[in-house]
Amino acid sequence: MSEPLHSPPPATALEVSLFSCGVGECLAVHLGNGDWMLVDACRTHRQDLPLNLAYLEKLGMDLNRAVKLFVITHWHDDHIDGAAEIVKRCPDARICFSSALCRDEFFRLVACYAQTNSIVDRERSGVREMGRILQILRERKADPTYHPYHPPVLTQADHLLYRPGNCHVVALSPSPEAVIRAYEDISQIWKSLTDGSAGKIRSEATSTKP
Amino acid sequence: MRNTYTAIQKETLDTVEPQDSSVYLSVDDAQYGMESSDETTMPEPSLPTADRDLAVKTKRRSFVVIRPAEESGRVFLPLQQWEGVVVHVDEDEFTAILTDKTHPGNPEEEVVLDCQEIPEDDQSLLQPGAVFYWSIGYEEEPGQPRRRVSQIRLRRLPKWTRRELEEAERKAMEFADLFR
Repeated sequence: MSEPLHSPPPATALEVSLFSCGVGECLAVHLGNGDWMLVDACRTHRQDLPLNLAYLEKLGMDLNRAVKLFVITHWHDDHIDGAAEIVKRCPDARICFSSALCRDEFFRLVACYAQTNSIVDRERSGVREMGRILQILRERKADPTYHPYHPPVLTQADHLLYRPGNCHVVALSPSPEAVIRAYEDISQIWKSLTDGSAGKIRSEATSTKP
Repeated sequence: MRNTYTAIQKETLDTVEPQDSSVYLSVDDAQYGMESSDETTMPEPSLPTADRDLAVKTKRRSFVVIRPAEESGRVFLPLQQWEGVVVHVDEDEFTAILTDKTHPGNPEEEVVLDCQEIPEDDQSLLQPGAVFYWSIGYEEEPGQPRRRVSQIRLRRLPKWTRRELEEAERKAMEFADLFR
């Protein structure tokens, strides 16, 4: 096993670091000139920082400015745990969501699980973490000291996400077909909540892609 | 209080041996609510005072006797407990993410379990998103050797209320506005 890195990469270096905990993976990518991209979030313990953010902190990076791009690939628990903490601590970062998530049904689903009077476990579920992220953005948008407000970027395959210099970041997914499938999945989950076909239990909103 | 109950007609009430923790309720309470005092009488004086205090009897109603489940003397001594969320269900197996409740500092784990581990009563609840509790420990029963057991129970919760769903629709419009 290689030695952990304790010093920032050179300004011209492209560095990709993959982190993994018991369940989940995330990335920290140095794009050059001290600019970073974080992809997804995971953490070993609920109270910890996400591993990719903790890495930047260990390198002594100024989190307020260093993170330029934060990509949330999907809302499965193993890729989004702690993502709200990244949004909160990295106000300069452009946040990228899959365009499949910009649907009324998805926002209703998030709002439903984010309700404070919900009796389901509030500490779990990727959809609840999405709720925390949207809540932070909501407060940020309403804050007059935080302007201009930049809405999250909705991505699809082949979208150019970042081009600061020689380094380009391009999304490879989701494909239009995957987006349509996700629309259908999300609509189905919402329908099951509203028509009672969810059955006898109130379950966690879990899997759908992207 | 609704663990175990037995419906008993009024005329057979006297033959029932009252128990300290039994509760006597009118079957129709939910429908009629409390009746006026001239329709209500106290139960038979042969009942223990505690039961008389709890009892509500009307002239036209039958009774339900609610008793706690009989104690079997069985004791479960947990060694390890997890909370899990089902993420995928196959024909014979299901995949779940486990959170260690005994050692909360441990990271979450993904496991594949046999569907046979789920009690028959809970099989219909086994679907993605279902929350369950998994306990491993010893079960002790008087006169029986100690047994090591593993049990999984799925969590049952009420459905979303209309009010919660309406509130979610309202909040969703605010969330959608964040993308403009």
